[in-house]
Amino acid sequence: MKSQHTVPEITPLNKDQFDGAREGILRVQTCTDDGGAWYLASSNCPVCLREDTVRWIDASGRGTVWSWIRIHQPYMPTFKDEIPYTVAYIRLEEGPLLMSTLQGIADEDVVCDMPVEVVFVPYGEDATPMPEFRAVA
Amino acid sequence: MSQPIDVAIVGVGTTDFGSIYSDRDPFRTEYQLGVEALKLALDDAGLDKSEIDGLLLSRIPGYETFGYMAGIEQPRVVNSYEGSGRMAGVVLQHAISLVQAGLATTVACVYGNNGRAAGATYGGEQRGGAYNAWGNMAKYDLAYGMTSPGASVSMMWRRYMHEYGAPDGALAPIALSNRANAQKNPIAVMRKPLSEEEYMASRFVSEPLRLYDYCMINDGGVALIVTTAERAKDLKKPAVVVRATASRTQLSPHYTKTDLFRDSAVDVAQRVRAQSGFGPDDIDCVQIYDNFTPIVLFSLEHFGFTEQGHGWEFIQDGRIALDGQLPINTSGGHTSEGYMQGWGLEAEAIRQVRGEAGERQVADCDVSQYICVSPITSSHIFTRA
Repeated sequence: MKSQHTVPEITPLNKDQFDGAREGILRVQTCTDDGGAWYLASSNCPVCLREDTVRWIDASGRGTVWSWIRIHQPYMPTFKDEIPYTVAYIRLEEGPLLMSTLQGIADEDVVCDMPVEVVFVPYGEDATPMPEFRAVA
Repeated sequence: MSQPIDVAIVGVGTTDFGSIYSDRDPFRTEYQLGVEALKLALDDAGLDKSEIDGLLLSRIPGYETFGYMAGIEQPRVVNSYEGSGRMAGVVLQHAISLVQAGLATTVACVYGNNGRAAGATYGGEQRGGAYNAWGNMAKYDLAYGMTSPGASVSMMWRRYMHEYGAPDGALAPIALSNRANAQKNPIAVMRKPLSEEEYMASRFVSEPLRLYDYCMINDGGVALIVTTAERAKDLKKPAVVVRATASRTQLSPHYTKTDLFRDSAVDVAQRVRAQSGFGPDDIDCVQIYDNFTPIVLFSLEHFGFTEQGHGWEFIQDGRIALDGQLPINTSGGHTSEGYMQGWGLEAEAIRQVRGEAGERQVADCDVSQYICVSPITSSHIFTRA
């Protein structure tokens, strides 16, 4: 089903993130000088603007559901058969926010701030590992 | 630099959104809608287009094409802004700044939207406006089917419900009030009465938001003409002045902001209040950017019309009706008048202080405010000169 989903292009900039994902590890970027953490790959640290201080680090893979929605509108042909589907905005323990989805949680059991943990699922034609989140056991 | 030149708004033009809606034309362009609105604004002001020496466009990408079509071929200043709603406030601010600085004397701000004709959906792989710039970053969201500003606002609304205990249906008074106002607006698109039952029964688009929480998609144009206070003196309509204007942005990869835009909106609210001396109690009507109804609550709270977390209670009991304590979106807003991405709301704020809003005129309207809370939050306060 998810083999038709759009996936990010893997480039030298984000390759380490997906290499980690293949081993089940969620990676975020940080700056060795300024600290902080962010999810979407950037060529430079947004604080000091340096490139040579940017590192990928392993995140815990744990976070909380900041909020979540169910999309009923068939905006994208690839999601036509999944309507309505859940999108969740996840806040990772390390701070960054990312869009994702939830698995194995009934709608009536989802609440804002519930703790969740990452699980990687193959998306797109090349089985790109993308993070989804499930309730912490 | 010399002293800033005093500035006034002298012309307002809005196309007839309702009749355009009932006459769907797939070949209608944003250019022709912009030209039509400009012509109406020139007539409104009593100005000849030969006096236009500044031209700022939004959602009309080709300024050379537009200049050619409008017969304004040598303005001193020209630019074309992206077609996103957050630009409505920005374009007017820039027009004012150009006149204040003497870079142009009479600036036409023109917006044209043929989104319905062109089949715009505001979601999917091809988004528009500000989203084209995200490139590969957008694909991290599209992988999960996350798309559209409405879904981003729905995410914030769910969080609001969680934090402040607002129940399902709490947004209904906004949709109903907009519709009631639109019934008194001859150019509004949606003028059929809307009941709470119909609102609750409408389909979810991005749950928890329903169809009637969403702006509509329609075609139309709006134009505003800004000139010097000096030139405004012998024009047709009473000059309107912007007593205060300010903006502040929140730039991040998601339209969803975890503070519901509070940081930027509180700053803008404080600045327009300080500049104008008008606080929430002095505003006779407010036109609030309502691409989706939750934004009205965020705006009311951040701008101090009510306390944080209480906006959903404030909008009840007719408080926001035309004859209420704080009339909001008096022309029907984006859910009923038409979605001119803020431009129609600015036009209405100006018409209300001119006293020419007809059946929907707010009594003794001396001060009106425009608020757009979004990744670029902006606000203006208008009075007669």
